[in-house]
Amino acid sequence: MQNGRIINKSKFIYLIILLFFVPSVLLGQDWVERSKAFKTISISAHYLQNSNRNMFHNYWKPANGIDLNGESEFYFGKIELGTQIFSVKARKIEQPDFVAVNMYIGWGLDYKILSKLDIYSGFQVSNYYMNFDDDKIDVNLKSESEFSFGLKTGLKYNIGKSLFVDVSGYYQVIYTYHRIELLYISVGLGKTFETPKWLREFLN
Amino acid sequence: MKRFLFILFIILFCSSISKTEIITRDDIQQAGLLRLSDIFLLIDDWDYTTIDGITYQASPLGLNSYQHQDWKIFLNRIPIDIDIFGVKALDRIPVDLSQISLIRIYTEPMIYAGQKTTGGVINIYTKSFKPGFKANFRTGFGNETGDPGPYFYTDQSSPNIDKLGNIIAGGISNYKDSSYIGISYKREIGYPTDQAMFNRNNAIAGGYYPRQKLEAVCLEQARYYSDFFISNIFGISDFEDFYYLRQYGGEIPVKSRLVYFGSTGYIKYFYGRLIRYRFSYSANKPDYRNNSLNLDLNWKQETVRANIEADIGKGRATGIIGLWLNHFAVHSYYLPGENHITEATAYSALNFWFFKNLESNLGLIINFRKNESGFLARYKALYRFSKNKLLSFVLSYDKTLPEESKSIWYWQKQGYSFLEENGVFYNITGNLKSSNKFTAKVTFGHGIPKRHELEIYAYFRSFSNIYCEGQFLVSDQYYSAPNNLIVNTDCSGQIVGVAVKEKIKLPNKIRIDFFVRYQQSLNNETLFEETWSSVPKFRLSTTIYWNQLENYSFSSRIRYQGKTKWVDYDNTDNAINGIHNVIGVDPFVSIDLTAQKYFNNRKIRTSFSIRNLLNNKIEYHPIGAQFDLSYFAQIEFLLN
Repeated sequence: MQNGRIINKSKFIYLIILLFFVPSVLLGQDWVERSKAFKTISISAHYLQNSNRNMFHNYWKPANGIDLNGESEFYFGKIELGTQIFSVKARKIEQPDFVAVNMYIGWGLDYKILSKLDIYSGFQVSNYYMNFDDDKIDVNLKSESEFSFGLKTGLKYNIGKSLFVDVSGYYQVIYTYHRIELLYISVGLGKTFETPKWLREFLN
Repeated sequence: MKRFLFILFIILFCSSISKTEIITRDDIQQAGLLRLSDIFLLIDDWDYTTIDGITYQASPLGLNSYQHQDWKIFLNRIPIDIDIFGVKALDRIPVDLSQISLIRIYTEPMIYAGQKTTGGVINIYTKSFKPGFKANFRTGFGNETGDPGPYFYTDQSSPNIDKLGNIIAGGISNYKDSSYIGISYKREIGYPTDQAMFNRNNAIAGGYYPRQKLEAVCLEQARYYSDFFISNIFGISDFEDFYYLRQYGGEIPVKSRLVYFGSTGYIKYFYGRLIRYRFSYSANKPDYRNNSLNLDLNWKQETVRANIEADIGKGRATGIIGLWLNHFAVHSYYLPGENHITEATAYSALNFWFFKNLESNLGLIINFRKNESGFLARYKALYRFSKNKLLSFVLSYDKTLPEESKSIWYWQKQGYSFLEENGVFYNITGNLKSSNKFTAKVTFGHGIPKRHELEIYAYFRSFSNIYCEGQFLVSDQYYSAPNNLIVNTDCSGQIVGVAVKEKIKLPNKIRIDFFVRYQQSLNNETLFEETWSSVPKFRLSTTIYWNQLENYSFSSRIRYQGKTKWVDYDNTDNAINGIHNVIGVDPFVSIDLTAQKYFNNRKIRTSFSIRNLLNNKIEYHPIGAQFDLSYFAQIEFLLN
């Protein structure tokens, strides 16, 4: 546990840099493109496959899930909002199955590496909600929410003007007492369109 | 005219540099504060502690957070008395954060709104007189990490961590034709998230799930006329809580109601000079809340204050003169003897500018009760030795009557009978008498308007005949209980400290606030030394606000606090593995982050905060409550 804490601290130092200092320095520059924010919106759906194994998987099977994601250009980089839903099955009868709903907000950067291919990296903070499926569980303990932090990187291939497919890796830490660390492979399909005027005004 | 502008400049300049700390509505929102009590997170030169992250005990300028909660609270410069058993739970003030326009914090001994304030001032301004109808509604929650999650159902299970709580609040107001009216409501629920705290509360809760619950409503009215102004505020708050009653050595479940009425106004009488009045009525009624300690706190504390004040002087010498009548009463069957005291205070404060660069302020307040009298004399000199540099010097001497600290009056005169009935034996050394406090503070200030403010100050405070308590506690599995209380009425000691405070405004709307302080007690008696060991010697904090884009803001606060010690637990005969009774609190670093975003032409405001980002061990006396990484979210709907 001590080692875990130390590792988490070093991760958090990177998080501070990511979350505040770098954006504030970068955004402090005049080259922030104010006119770009929320110009377009991309909506995508992804299939997620859990691919790592650790203590959590001694009790629950690797879960697959879906991710509904909305993404838009920001003053610098991109901002995203989304929900992931997982159905987690227990290995033994002593543990309940549960449904997890992860509602997140994230920020990241993408770079064009080929004419139709982008690489994307970013982070997410989220609320990881768990609803346990067992009638014997006390109603006060039947659901629980926990803070979660994730890192994401992937490739996006643009098909035509607005459609795209992407494949990405997603690493998530859920801040339960014993941290739950999950690694997902994700594939998805999405569409980009110009933000309606009323929505852009609302968001700005 | 030139002289008037010069004086005005000096006043504004001095106000901005050395007299007061200001927390604006923007600061509150950018820091993602959820509750009124969260403002302590933004006050640099006050020490604070908490048992539950909701109720704080605090003290300014090196005073002790536990022994004397002598700071005073004002709403629009009208006193509001919320003290119950030495605990000031700020959330009980029936005003929501969203109704606040500005908070002014004072640390030095001074005469504030005619009141003697040796232990600091928090003044909350509620109204903003912008014409038109306004409405707002906000809701938010806090959650601490470290839940067992699904592992609860495994052999890796750990205790459940509750939510920190949630809040719902809103208000409507209208300002038209010089007339203002507003009404607001707030509801807060909180839970003890620390396992030790939960166990302690659960052990005494008498069968219900331990939690705090607050509901408050507030009604305000104000009107300007051509030559006079009148403003009234009325509020009620109900609070269910576990108060840390120091004399009892632990928490007690308390249900309390605050009923408050405040009124102020002025009339112009001569060349623009004003005569002001202030009136306040505060009734605190702690009541029975189910508990296994079999405590019945059937008390009612009433405070009535009335004031008349007039501007005096002319030209280079201006000031105020006034009179307060303060009446304190306690109704309880525990108080068989005298149940009320009345105090009259007369005061005057003068500003004079006999030399171009030297401003002087002389204040004197004398309070009388029967054959006794106390006073506070204060002199402040402020020398401006260049366009941007100032040197100020404050000297104050305070003779305090025992009755002025109401919590002492309750306990000393009659209230200990309540403790004795509940198994606390006490031993008072000496007779309760007037105490004396001397404060000297010297400040160097440097300021470039809108760019840079630097304040370096050193202070010396001397106390004699003050009231100190030491305790012997016994513990069972979950709860520490008092056994023997030692009261020393002749406690004396000195403290000395130095601090640096800096505000830097960078281009691109980045503001950096920096604070560092070191404090040391000097050649003191053992009890003074021991009780002051709960105040950290070294503290450092940095807050960064970034506000470049119109509808976004980010803030980051880094805080370091040196080690402290809670000496009462030295005497505990059966400490429980240091879990529930923490003698020493280790130094800690905390980092808080907040992001805020407005939507829909600033009609919707959202914020997300993370506190204790590094998930460090952050502990507070006296329980040793720990708060892990926590996150807070809120959304506010605004109609202007």
